[in-house]
Order: sequence, then structure tokens, then C-alpha cells
Amino acid sequence: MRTLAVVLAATLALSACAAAPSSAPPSPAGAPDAPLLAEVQAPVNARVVTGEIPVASAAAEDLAVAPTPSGLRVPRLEIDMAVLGVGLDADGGMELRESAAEAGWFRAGGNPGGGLREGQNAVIAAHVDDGVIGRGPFASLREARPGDRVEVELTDGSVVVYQVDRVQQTSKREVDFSVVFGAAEGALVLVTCGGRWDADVRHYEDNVLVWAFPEDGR
Amino acid sequence: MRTSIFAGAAAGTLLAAGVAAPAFAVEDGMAELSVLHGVPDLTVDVYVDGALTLDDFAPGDLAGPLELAPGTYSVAITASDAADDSSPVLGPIDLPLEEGMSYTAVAHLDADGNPTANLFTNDISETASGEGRLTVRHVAAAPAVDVWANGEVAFENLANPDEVMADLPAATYEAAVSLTGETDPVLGPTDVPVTEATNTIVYAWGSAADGNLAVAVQTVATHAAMPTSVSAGTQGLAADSSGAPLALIVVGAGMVVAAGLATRAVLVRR
Repeated sequence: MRTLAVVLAATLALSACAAAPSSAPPSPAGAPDAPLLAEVQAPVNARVVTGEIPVASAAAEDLAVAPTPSGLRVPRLEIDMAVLGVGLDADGGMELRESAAEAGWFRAGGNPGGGLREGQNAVIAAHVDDGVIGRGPFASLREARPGDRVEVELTDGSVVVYQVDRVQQTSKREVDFSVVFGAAEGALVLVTCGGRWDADVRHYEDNVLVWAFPEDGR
Repeated sequence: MRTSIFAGAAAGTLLAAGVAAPAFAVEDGMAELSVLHGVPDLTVDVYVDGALTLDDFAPGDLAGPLELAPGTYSVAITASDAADDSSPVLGPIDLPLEEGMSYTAVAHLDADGNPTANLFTNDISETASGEGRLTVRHVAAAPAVDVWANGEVAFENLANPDEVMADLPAATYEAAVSLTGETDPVLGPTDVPVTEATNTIVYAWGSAADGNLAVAVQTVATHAAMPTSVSAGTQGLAADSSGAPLALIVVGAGMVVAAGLATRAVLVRR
């Protein structure tokens, strides 16, 4: 019995900040689209296509795969973390790196490195704490201020620079994740947990979201 | 007996194709169209509804994607020095485009080497987390082929102008094409990256008889489920003060005691 309980405890700790399963749809049909044609926008006039149409070689050797985030730095907050791609967890939430020292970038959303979903919001999240290192780097996210510099390092070694626009702390029940992940605002959204700790269910009551936008307006 | 590592996945994908999924692959209210030129040695102009749309479009090139209002578009392909679309070398053909769908119109050779055109529908239905989609289209003047991935036959006996597809774990696959039942590649091997929430579409085009078979690749975004929550803390160490007592005890006591407290909590709750 005790052995079983310890296993259960470990399971609880891993899923601790788990919010109650949400019945909200993953995204509304009316949400804006990733701008697949951001630079094109060929005016459609009486269904005749005019304007610039991108033409490129389709040769296999010319296929470009966009670089993806590999590192995140917020110098003023002394955040300097590795970033790895993540997907969905079993409950339909965002998968997170087990260690609060590492951040996860949601692969099926926007990519600071460009690609097919360029312009869709990019989301990087990390546990605010874990049982090994205690408070993680993202514990200081709520101290972010407008204008703070955020650097995303990409797998090709290049760096995309963002500036913090605002910090939002919202009850998890009220965060509109279809906008966070789905809107085509070109934002980088850094997400962690915060607010009161509900010891009964072992999760935080709020999400802390830092909204940043590209420094060069890209 | 050669095995197909994708057979099961392919069947599942075909069943799932066409299901509306939440996401952001094609702009609301629009259709998405790309155009691939797969006729060797023939630079052309492309007219859409009578208007010159692609000038000097070269073999192996991909145009688009364009976001278009749903409807039926008439496409004519002419020699690149034509003054208008009155003497097309191909077409005019009607392209019926439906809202929310992704298409690729391909000018290519049929199995006997005659120019033709096909409108393919790109499957952008939702892919599972961690997976991408691989589509292979035979648009070459060549017999039926087997498609290999990582040294095994993935799709058997694919004939012009057919396509096959499968959802696969995101990874780079070494792809090759042999004539059906043979092992020597007539194309490849070529590295094909299959990335998450992306349909990577591979075309075998050109002419076997003329020795100019080639591989073209196109990528389109698929639908993908977005997270409904982000649960990003496990210990309560970063909590606002009102919720912190248990967490503070855990900080002082360390991991062993923390496990014990959690155990006791579970026992009590049971």
C-alpha cells in the first residue's frame, strides 16, 4: 500500500500544476490564420489573379527547412535557458520539459525562425519550479517590464530579438489559449505558472504570460 | 516478402482525410493553390481566367501558394512567347477550388510522355502531435514505381498520376524510387524532412526515356490541435504568499521529506 502511494505521489508531483481538463475547443474556427501569404496578398479582382506570385525551385535539394529555437535569453532577468521542441501532453495541454531549467517551444505553432507558420504566435513555456532545482528561471518572468530585451537563439546559430510589450497574470480558467497559440500577431509568448498555490490539487491558480514582439518589426 | 513500414499508417490517414479540423492551415473563407511545372524542357506562360498570371514559368518551379476566393478558375498554359491564351499547349482546364482546401495544380507528362495537367488536393487534415505527413505523387513519364524510405519499401506500385500518403513521426527520411519490384533506384536516395504539422509532398517528374527524371518537393501546413492549457509548475515554490506554507516547508526539508509529505497527503486523501 505504501509503495503504491509513493508512486501515486510521484505522479501527482509531475502533473502538479495541471489545470482541470478544459472542455474548451482547441481553437475557434474564426481565429485568424497564419499568414501563409504574408508577403504576397495578391489582390483578387473579379477572381483574376494579379500581383506578385512567389515562384521558387521545387528541387528536393533546394527545400529549406526553417531553423527552430534552441535557446532563450532575457538578460535583465538573468534568464539563459536551453529550448527544445515540445508537442501536446496526454490531456491536450502543452507538453513541458520536466526540468524547470529547460524551456519548451510548441512545434505546431509559430516559429521565430520562420517557415510555413511565420507570423503565427510562437510560444515558449517552462515550469516555474520543479522538485530538483526548486525555483526555475521562469520564476522571474513576472518581473519582466515593457522594453526588456528577449533573445531567441535558433538552431542555425542566428538570434531573433524581441521586446517585451506586456506581462499578464491571469487565472488559468480565463486564459484564451486559442489566441495565445493561434493568433497571427507575430508575438513571442513566454508562459509559466504563478499566483496562489493550491496545495489540495497541487497546482498554481494562474498563468503568467509575457508578450513580446520582434524588435525589427519582422 | 518485402514489407511496407507505412502501410498501416497510410490506411489510417486515408480514413481521416477530409475531416474538418481546427487550425490555421488555410485562411478563413479562402482556398489555397500552388502550381508546379513538371513538363521538362518547356518554359511556359500560365493564364488564369484569361489573364497572364505566371510569365516564363520554368520546369521544376513551384508558384504560390496563392490564397484565392473559392470558385472555379480556368487555367491555360501557353508557349512562353504567346501573345495571349488563344493557342494553349495545355488546357484550358477548370480548377474547382473549395473553401478551406489546399490544392496543387501540376502540369506534367503522362505515363506515355504527353503533356497533361492534374489538380491534386493536398491533405491538410489534422496531424497528431509529433507527426508530419508524407505524400508521394507520380507525375513522370515512367512505369509504376516503388517508393523506398530508409531502405525499405514504403509504398508499392505507384503509377502516374496517382499519389500515396502516410503520417509519420517527424524526422528526416532517406527516400528513393525504383521501378516496381526492382531494387536499383531510378531516383534518389534523397533526404526528405518530414516536420510536425506539415504535409511534405514529393513529386517524381520528368521522363525515364529522356533520362531527366527528377524529384520536386513542396510543403504545406496542416491543421494541428493547439494546447488548451499550460500547467507550468510542480512545487508551489513560486507562489504568492497566501498559498505557500506547504511549499515553504518543502523548501526547508528537501526532496526526501517532500516525497514523504506528498505520500501522506495521498494517504489522507484516499
